[in-house]
Amino acid sequence: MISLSIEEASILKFLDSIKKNAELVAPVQRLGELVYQEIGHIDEVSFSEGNPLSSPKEFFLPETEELFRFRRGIYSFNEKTERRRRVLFGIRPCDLAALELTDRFFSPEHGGYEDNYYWTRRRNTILLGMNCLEPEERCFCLFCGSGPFAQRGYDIQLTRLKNYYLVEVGSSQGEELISNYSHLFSSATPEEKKEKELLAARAEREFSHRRKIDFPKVTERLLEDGFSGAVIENEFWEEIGGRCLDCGGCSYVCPTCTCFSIVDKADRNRQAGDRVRIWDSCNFSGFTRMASGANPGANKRDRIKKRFFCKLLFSQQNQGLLGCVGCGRCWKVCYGEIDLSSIAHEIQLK
Amino acid sequence: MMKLARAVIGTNNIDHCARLCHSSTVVGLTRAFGSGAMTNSIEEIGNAEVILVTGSNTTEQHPEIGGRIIRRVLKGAKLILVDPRKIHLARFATVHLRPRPGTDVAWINGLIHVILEKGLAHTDFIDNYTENFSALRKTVEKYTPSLVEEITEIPAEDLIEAARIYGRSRQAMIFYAMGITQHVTGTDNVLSLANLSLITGNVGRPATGVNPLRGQNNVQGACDMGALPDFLPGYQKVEDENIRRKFEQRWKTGLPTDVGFTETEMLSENSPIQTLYIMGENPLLSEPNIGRVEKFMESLDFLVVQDIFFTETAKWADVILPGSSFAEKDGTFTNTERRIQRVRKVVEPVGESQADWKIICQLAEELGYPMGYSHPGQIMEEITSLTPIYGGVSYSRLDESGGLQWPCPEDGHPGTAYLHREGFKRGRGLFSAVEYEPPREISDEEYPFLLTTGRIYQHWHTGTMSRVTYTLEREVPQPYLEMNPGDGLSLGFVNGQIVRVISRRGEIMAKVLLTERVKEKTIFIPFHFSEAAANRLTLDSLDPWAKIPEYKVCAVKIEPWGGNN
Repeated sequence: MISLSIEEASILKFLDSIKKNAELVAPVQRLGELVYQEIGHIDEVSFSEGNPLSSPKEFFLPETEELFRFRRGIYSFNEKTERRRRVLFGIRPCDLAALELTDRFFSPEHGGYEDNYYWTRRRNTILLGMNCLEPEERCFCLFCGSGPFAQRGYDIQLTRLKNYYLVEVGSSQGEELISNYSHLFSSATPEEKKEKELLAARAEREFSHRRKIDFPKVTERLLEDGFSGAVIENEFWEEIGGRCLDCGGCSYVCPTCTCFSIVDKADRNRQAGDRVRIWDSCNFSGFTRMASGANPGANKRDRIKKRFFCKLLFSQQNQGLLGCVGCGRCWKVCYGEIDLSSIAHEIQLK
Repeated sequence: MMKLARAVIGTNNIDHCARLCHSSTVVGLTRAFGSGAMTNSIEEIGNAEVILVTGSNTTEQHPEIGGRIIRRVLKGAKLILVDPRKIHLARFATVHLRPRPGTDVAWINGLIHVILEKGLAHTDFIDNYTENFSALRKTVEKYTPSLVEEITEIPAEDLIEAARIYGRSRQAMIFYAMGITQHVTGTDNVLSLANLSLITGNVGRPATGVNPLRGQNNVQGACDMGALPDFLPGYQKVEDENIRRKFEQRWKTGLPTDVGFTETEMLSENSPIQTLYIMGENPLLSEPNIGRVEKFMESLDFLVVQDIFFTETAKWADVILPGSSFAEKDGTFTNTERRIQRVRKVVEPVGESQADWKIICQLAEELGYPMGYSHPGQIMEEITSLTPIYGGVSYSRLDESGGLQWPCPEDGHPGTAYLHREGFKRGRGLFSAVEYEPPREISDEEYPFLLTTGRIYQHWHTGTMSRVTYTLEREVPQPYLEMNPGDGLSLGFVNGQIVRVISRRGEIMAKVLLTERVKEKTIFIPFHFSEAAANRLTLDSLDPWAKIPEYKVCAVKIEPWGGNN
């Protein structure tokens, strides 16, 4: 592992240089909200603590995406893959962990399929992560093992130390990028590495007064239940379902939700069109409705139950990783105060 | 649009969709309090002790507000729900009253009767801040819980319980929507809710008030801007010569003096209107008794429709002007809590479409009256100079503050979170003695069901946008009617069966959805679907004051559809 340091002023120079050869995406303050955006002028980049409400998954799996074009009579499958080089700056440890999960979801090694659209974007993106010094109120990444400091998944990882940054390089791509601008960096001193460890411990202590969730225990309970209702009774899911307003917001902001739907959009002359995929949500009733009208997810209780089993158990069984990274976004957007951390905690106590 | 009508064309025959949703609110609350808008603010829900929701499916139609109500109730506030249907909020209700559609004045008078009888009225408030109390007291005397039960089917003990909960609280908010307003007694219903708040002093303070929930993102703004036959912007009467003169001087032209026609009058069979310009509205699906509107359209000489998609109404147009969507234009929207907020262009208008204000400016110029705006900010400057309630609004202030709530009379004024803080705008709060009147059309042997119409979560009004949005259309792709399983059993209908629904005015076909959400002998049909337009069935009787149609009650019969049996 290479450890370097860089002054705050030089980071902007570094990013500005990157921008000449690749699209730079970073958190930006827009009308009081932090959002990921393509950077026009380098001063737009926000270095504030906190994580944008909209996760960076849209840069790998866009909300709507044209897959190919078709014509009446002759089907031509010209995949519209996006090959732009992109650097994603400021991605937080929880979202790095989420990418590990979506990587597996879209890979054959883990029982999935190789999604060329996803992987073309993924392979052309360099991840410049940022460790969290001040976890937000609704974060619980520590209990999910995904933060507040990243262990892996980044090309380059930054930690803010006073007025400069510790830089850790996690991949050959990251190494290559830095080598082009080596004059901006210097080797990290042992004190600087020590300082990072202290900051990490301090950030972790932030969670000491929060309700601890023991996810292995949650997993045990869910396995015992086996979706049968033996451990977690129907009323439990009924109550949560009652607070759900079917908005789908949790799925849209979730960095690990990957479900999508496919639709054909015909041109006005109906001679040709585009096949498009769009984000979908298991909270929607139509998600599982069949052509006959039969629907295994017709009521909210069942949909919510399925959703939480997917996040807390099935993703471990299928991808070998917990389906929640503790970013707290779903709780922030929920009209009905549906908070995965407290639900997991209640399951743990069953 | 308002200026085009008045200053360029020279007519007060201008109206907007609030005629069909909250015109009875504007008339009723102006009469009772002096101002026709939501009295309080959304944020105050967090401090309410008691929340009374009636005629509003809040979680489906105002989810932001519905979510806040749920969160508040989870923290201990009491919820009184008054709605014929077992809507989602019923799960959270301390008490749920299910009146027969169209009997609102009766249960509200009943609540007031019990509150007075139990000594829960706020007598100091009544003495110091209101007038006409004795007339109200006399009227509500006969609305005993047992009489109310007879009229409304609400069990007497539930009514008493609700009266106790609301009457004891001095931090009680009322929320309502079209279940209250869309009746021939819409104005009476609104006046009755105002009575209820006045009798307990639940108005003029935070976390109280009478709060109509406006549906469209900017329907409050359209009202504020005088898209009304009787008001110039800021609820300034067209009949007031001084007001007219102020506008005439600024606009350098004469203005029409007489009150114009309402939308429902313009589109009626005997309407004298021969030329019509419709912007962003789809009356061929949204007006009651569509058959009547079609006849009117046939008689029309010239129709211009400005919209973002090809609507049912656009099919009748001589000229179609392509407007642009919210994401393609700059301007402001004024939301239900009187908050004026900026909307910003994020993408260029598609194809030949343009921002609505630009289209109107070009038309005005063709008609010999150049308006000379180059940015909506200039239009706001003109609004500010002529409209006292918007007097302190400017784009720079909106940018800084993230929105201002009117009245905001001058620069530096912080805006107004709740109204009537220092006495009522009209002086004293006015009690109105209102008697219950039955709906215009009730069920009988030939038409044994009551039909009530409304909206669902996934679709928006006439579906101009939501029915071409893939996920929403997938969620609910077909028209349906909600029917109680008991009725389904007695008529021999099964879930999913296609039936004919027939009223005295028209007929549609839709799928049966058997559900406990509706009571026996009442059915509910969403009005979004052109292939089974609920408004072919509805009644075009109007409230005498507000001219709002009675969408919420009419009589229908239901027959099996031959092809299905």
